[in-house]
Formats: sequence, structure tokens, C-alpha cells
Amino acid sequence: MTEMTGSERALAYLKGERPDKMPIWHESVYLAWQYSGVPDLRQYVLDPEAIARGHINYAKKFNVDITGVNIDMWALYEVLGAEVDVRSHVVQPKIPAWRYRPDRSIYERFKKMGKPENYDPRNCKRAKALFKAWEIAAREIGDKVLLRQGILGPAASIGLVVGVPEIMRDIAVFPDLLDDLMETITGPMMDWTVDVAYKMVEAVNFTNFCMGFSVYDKGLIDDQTRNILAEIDLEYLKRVRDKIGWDIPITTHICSYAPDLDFIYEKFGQHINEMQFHSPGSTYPLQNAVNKFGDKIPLCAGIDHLGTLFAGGVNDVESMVKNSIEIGKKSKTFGLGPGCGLSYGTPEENLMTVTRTRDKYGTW
Amino acid sequence: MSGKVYELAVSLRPFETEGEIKKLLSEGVPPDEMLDSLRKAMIEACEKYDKGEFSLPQLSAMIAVFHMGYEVLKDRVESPSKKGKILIGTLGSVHYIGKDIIKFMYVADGFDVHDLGENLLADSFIGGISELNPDLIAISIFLTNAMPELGKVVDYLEKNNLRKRTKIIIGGAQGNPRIAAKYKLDGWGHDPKTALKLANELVVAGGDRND
Repeated sequence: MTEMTGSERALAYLKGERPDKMPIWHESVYLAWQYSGVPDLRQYVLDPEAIARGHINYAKKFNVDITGVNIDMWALYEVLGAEVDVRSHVVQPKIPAWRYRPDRSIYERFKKMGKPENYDPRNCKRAKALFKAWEIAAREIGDKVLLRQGILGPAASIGLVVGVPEIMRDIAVFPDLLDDLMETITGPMMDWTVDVAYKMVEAVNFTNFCMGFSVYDKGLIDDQTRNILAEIDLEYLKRVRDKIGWDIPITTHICSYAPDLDFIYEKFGQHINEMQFHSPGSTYPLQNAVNKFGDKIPLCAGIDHLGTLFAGGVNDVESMVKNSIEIGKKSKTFGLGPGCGLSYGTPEENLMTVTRTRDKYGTW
Repeated sequence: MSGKVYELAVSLRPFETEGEIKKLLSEGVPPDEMLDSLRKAMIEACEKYDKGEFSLPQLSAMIAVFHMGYEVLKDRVESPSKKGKILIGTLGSVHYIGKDIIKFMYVADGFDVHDLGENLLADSFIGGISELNPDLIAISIFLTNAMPELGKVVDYLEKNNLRKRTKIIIGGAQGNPRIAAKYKLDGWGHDPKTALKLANELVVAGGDRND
């Protein structure tokens, strides 16, 4: 088979086909920043050229097939009122006044949102820089690497503005909040997230949309909340699909310690093109996922970004990747990936070993 | 009298709990009695979480209940330092739910708890150790970038001959026996119950570390 580009490899995998090699996805906000040439994070997050350069250098250095271009989780939500501290080395949300004292009034702003065009994330500086960085990266390496970008559904998006634990708590504390929130979530917030999702897909040249399912963790939410969220996310997915069409694959992100893959597949399986999850490292063994879903949907897993990739040595990484390849081979197709973005300080040699081991063993 | 405080607390009604506490205080009900009710409710919530009857939203709600009630009571109850002093915080990331649950469990159980916050580097813990001379350090670690910083905290304790006196435990997604053994810690708690048991064994009963 002729050697594919990373993008071709990724798209073949997402179609359920077996490419020349198993594609590799990984990304890292903080490692990419390190390769940008801009030492101060406060400057970096406002500089689209630097953001794109850092991620392009990262993708080239580690020869990944799929990656993401990001700065932090909150940039898109500043326009809705999310507040962060951008320090010299880290971006983090500000501690809200309602962290320990529930406050119903914080949800009022979402009710009054109106049309999405009034809340274009690009009205804020960091999101504007990020959108530009996506366009630059798509233009420069989009034919070689699949850029995996997405925005959470409307419920989780409100959660990122007010705090995910806080919104879940408030639903438990204020019995009538849920009905009120549902109106907002299925109304103006739904319209807004679908609109932003489309803008993102447009920015990466209509190659894919990434849907986050990390909230579907067995230890995180109760059955009732899970089912309500699933209905909202399903509606969101359908609306994104209607806008982007069925030709564009929907990738996933399931960064979770106890991922409920069975539930995710049952609810969303027909609308998504892969399930990416954390294994080894989570409570869902890769072998089980392959047995259950290997003939149904592409799986992306096999790299423990925590214990092994960060804390282990080259031999540990090689052994892990080889083992995952052997298990993954039994699926109709398979991609190698960690559970989440990689930490600052992950040894470069370990990342090189992932690609080297894949090149040696990761074929069918 | 404070039975209603307990009932409102376990029903996850923070504002009503707070209101009831204020009312009972004005009627002269001893604040320690109401703190006991809050403790009982907090411990029960953690037990329900262990059994799968509660999930994180309910635990978060219980944190709000306890916090709001405790804020009213804290200056009126007996000094909480009878059991020992605990320094707690999250190294290297913004995760706080697990840390807060443990923090309030410790407060509820009668420890004097000092919360350093989140996204900390080793220096914050080192500063806290110098200032407060804690009996126990409880560190929440969620991301792997916390590991080198954890090593620095342990090194500091050893270099300053504080390691025998000061116990150190970890929890959070990255807490596991392998990490606890690697850094020669005194233990790791994978849930609130274990973390509470560990603190009592190490501080109150003066237990030895696990190496």
C-alpha cells in the first residue's frame, strides 16, 4: 500500500477502513506552547501565529496523524461570561462567588441570550486568536494532519461558564431549576453551540467535528441526569449533523476515568464515527471495548498518557503500544491515542517511541 | 432541637439549613450540637456515595450545606484543633471537588484544616508547612504534572527532618499505591471514607507509614 498522509490515514480510519498504518492522535496545549517560541503564556494565548506555529511544530515533531489546536477550555466561553486568570504558566478559571453558596441568579444571563450572532466567541480576544490559529493550521498542514476540533454540547457549555460541579449541584439544590435550565439549554444555548460548532468546522476546512462525551462517566452523574443530558446531546449532535452533513466525520473525546462506552454507543453510536477513550488507565479495558464494539465502530485508545507516557520509560511505552496494537488489530480498524491532552513534561523520547512502535508494528 | 438541622442537611437544602441554624442560635441552642448534626449529615452523604446512592452532584450539594452552616457556626464552636492540624490542596491542576469533599470531611470530624487551594506548586505546600507545622499533609493529584512537585514536597520534609513528624497522604485520579510507594508516602485514599480513616490512624492514633 502506498504511504498515506496522516490526514488520509485518519479519514480512512474514521470511515471504518484499515489504512496503511494505525493512525495516531495526540495533542498537548502546553507542549505545543513550548514549541511556539513565545515563552510567556499571556502573550502566546493572544497570538494566532504563535499558537498555530506551536501546534504545527508539535505535529511535525511527533509525526501525529490527528491532533488538535487549543489553548484552554474557556476561551470560547468568555463571550458568555466565563472568567479566567491567564498567568505566565497556566490558564485557569477564576474561583466564582457561588462555589460554596448556590446562586440561582447566575443562570438568568443565558435565558436572555437571544440570537447566536450577538454572542460570537470571536468578539473576545483569545477566541479570536484561536479561530485564526485554526485557519492557519488548516491551511498549512490540513492536507497532512486531521485537526480535531469541537465544542461541548449546550448543557456542558453552560457548565463551563458557571462551573460543571456547580451546575450539577444546583440542579440537586433547586428542584425547579432543571425545568428552567432545560428551556435555556434547548433554546438559546442550543442555537449558540450549534452555531459555534459550525464556525469551528468551517475554520478547520470542513474535515471533522469532535464531540465531547466525558461527562458520561459512571461515577460522575446519576442515571436520571445522564438520561436528560443524553437527550440534549443527541439533539445537539443531530443539529450539528444537519448543518455539516453526513460526509464530515464526527470524532469523539471521552476523557473519563470510568467511561460508560456502552451507554455512549447505545445512545449516540449511529451519529458518530469513532469512540476515543482512555485505556489503559480507565476502568474500561481495551480488550472489552474491542470485543464489544470492534466490529461496529472505529476505536481510538491504547495509550496511557498518565502512568506510562508521562512517568514510564521508553521500554514501558513500547510495551504498552505493542500490546495495544495487538488488541486493537482485532477490530475492523483502530487508532492509537491517549485519554486526554498530554501533560507538560511528558518526555519527548516517549512520544517518539509511540510513533516508532506504531511504524514497526501498527499495520494489519 | 438540632434534629431539624440534620434533616434539612441530609435533604440537601443549604439555605433552609443555614436559616435553621441561625434560628436555633438565637434560641440559645449550643452551636456544637448543630455542628454535630452537620458532621453526621456529611458522613452519611459520603457513605451514600460509597454505596452508589449519591453521586457527585449530591456530594457537591452537601459541601454547600456544610460550608454554609459551618460559616455561621465556626466562630461559636469549640476550637477544632483537638484532633490535629491538616494542610490540604490540589497540586498542579484546578480540580477541587474531591479535595473539598475530603476537606469538609476532616473539618466535620474535628480536625483543624488549612486549605491551600488548587493549581499549586510544591512551594505553596512548603510555605504552608513552614508556617503551620501540620500533622498531616493531604495532597490531591489529578494530572501527572503533579508528580515532580509531589517529590519536591517530600524532599523538603526529609531535608528538614520533618518527615517522621509530618504524615503525608495523596488522593485524586492519580493517587494510587504505586505512587504512594514511589514517594514513600504514608498512604493514599481513593474515597472519602478511606481518607478519613487514614487521617485518624495517622494523626490521632499515631500510625506508621506504609513503607
